[in-house]
Amino acid sequence: MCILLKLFMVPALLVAMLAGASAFEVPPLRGRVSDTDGLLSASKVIALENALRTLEEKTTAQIAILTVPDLQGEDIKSFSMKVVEAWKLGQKGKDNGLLILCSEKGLHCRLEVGYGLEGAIPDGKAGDILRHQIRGKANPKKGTHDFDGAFTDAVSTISQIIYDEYAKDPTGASMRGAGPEALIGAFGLIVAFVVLGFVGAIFGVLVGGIAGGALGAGIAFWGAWSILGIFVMTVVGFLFGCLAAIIMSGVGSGGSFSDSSWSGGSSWGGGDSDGFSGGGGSFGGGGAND
Amino acid sequence: MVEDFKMKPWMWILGVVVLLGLVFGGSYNGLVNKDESVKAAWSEVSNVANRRAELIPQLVDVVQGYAEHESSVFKGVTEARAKATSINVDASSLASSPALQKQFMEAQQALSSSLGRLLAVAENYPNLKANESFLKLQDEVAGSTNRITVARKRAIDDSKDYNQAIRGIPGVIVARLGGFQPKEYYEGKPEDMAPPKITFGKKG
Repeated sequence: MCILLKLFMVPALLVAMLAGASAFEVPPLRGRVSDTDGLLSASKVIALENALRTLEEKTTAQIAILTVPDLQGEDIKSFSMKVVEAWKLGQKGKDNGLLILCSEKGLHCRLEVGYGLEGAIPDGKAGDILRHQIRGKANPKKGTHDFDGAFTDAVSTISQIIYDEYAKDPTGASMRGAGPEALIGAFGLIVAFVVLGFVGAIFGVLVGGIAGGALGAGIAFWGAWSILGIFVMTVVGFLFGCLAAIIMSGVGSGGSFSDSSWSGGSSWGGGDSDGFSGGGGSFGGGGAND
Repeated sequence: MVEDFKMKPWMWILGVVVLLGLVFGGSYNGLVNKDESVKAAWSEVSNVANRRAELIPQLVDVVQGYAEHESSVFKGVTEARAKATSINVDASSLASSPALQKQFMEAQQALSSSLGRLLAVAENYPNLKANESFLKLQDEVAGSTNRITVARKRAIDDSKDYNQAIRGIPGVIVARLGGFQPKEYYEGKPEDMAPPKITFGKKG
């Protein structure tokens, strides 16, 4: 037991040292509202999270709020950009993410607007919301600290803008185009499945698996993925090929497969606890701060 | 029938050839994609710089409405803008020339400085400082400057990514065969783009 612990200690320490080597740490994404600077009341945090979740459900736009006690020596713009690049707020392709960031007990705030929202919320509008909705109620330089009220107003105003945009254009087609990649990918998977299945049915499951592995590796190379990605794809391809071969040969011989039960159909659990994560959206540097 | 199947030598060779084809084809595609990314990234830098330049006449207009005698400041901004615009003519040359990138950056930095002085004028004119048009333009200039910073950083990151790819395996072979050259870039200091912080009482 002792030896095992010691064996793990060294690599763990190494990892910790390497991780600590980079001074800047992006705050982890723990939810839509990360009030690490304690500006909001608990009930307000919940109310805001609900409002932001509803916004995402209705329009797919992802707004997050982050308050931090300090900027770790960074300028607020570069801090904000590092956060949104790590959190990836907004949907991939639509880029409809927005971050409201406040630091040092709300002394400095920034609205970071995703590419897809820049039309509805250009820099001047972001500045407007900052000056009126936020600073109207919470301006430490002037001695006001009603952050509950300020964030409520800001979220309400921003949400209304997004709802209005969404009502005009529900598919978000005007936002940066979401590619047809998903459709092509699905089609490709079906074709690969059938082809690999035939190969495997004729030449044996193992050959089907090898073909699948080669195909996986090939796809990873076409996409110029990392070494790890190539390895993973090879393994996945192998398993996919074996599976296809088994199913196709089962179908072909019309035999023993019919009574194996493919249980499923029920959801993957997870319920409706809000496991919030970024949708892959990107940002160009638009927004406003003070 | 299926049980008698044995891999003949030609099948092995074919398999290896196909695999190599996939690997090198994939690598070539990857390099092409990265090359295009770098060009697109510098194009974006050029575009956002132009957007900033377009805001300036409007800003000068608004400020002049309140502070018409600050002529040295207006002259400074106008000249800096002209200089920056003259360098930022062609996005594709920007992508291929670190010398041009340096010139571009320095011109943009000079423009940021003179913009800082222009905005600082408002410290002495409370009515200007409260003017909604002025505030909106100030936000847009700040946003545009930030966009230039972000776009430049991404262009350089893409260049680094490309350079890494043509050094690794099998990139280094494909690069030599396909004629892919490393991308040189001028990095400069990260803070270079930000306009100087406006301090009280500072005059152009």
